[in-house]
Amino acid sequence: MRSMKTVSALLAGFLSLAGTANAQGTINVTATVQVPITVTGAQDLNFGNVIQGVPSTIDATNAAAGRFDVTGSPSTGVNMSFTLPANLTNGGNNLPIGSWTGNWNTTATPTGTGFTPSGGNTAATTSAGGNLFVFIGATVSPGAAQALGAYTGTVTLTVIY
Amino acid sequence: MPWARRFPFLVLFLTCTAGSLRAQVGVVGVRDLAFGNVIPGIQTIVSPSDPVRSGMWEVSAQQGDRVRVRLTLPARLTAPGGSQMPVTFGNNDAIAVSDAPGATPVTFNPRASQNFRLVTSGRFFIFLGGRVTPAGTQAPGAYTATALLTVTVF
Repeated sequence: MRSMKTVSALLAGFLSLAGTANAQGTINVTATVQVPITVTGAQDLNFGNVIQGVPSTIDATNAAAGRFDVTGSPSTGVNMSFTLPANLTNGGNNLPIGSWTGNWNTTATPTGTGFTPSGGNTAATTSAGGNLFVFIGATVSPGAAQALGAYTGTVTLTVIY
Repeated sequence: MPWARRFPFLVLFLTCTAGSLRAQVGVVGVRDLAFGNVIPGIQTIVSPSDPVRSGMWEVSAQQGDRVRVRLTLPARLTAPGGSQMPVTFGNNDAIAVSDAPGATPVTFNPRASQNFRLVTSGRFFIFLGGRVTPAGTQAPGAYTATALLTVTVF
């Protein structure tokens, strides 16, 4: 009789299991808090005086190259993209500019990694202190009859994680 | 077990019966809910329909099953140093969709249990979105938590 009670209890247990089942699965929820990025135009790309009909180049490794100072999270990858002018302007006159060159470094010297500035993403990495220095150069090509005067344009650097 | 020696066929019967009647269901975590890089003071939202960053589970049951879906969600993410960051889930931050061709996704509140009948297929997916709200002084670092999906066939 005791055995039959045991069997009955087991049967009840099996029947209560039958017809239901559950399963579980986990995923992680993740986020990385980063230091906000700052970008500061530190030095203009200044060609100085140029001559009609004579192209003038300032390379990104030149001390006169344009420079942006970037701060963000330490030792972290970022992506840089540029908005580049096709011309410098003086009123209605255009002075073509192109052949852009770039160089990024974790110190304020233009001896780091070369790249070609563009609207696409260029990868770079901040220093252990969260600093990044970006240098930019280009070539201006004044025409033989280029109107005299001061020409300016704007280069915009965007940096994201 | 003397009773087992006396009723060997009964034991076999019980074993087979339980094995054949018990519903089958499996849940696999496929993809983390990943907010990626976030900036202090700026809320970041991931939609459940985001094909890359939304959380994702795969559920395998039987066509025709009735299932109950229940999510156990974190209220905050935690960094190794102990810093915490709130994470919240809105009424439309979960999607269930069958793997059957042409299946219509069902949006639901991930904070409430949902019942579904698996009409066209026993395999379906649950997607999870949400939002994190780092404080303006939120400490930098990697924050994590766990989300649990429980599926019951009934």
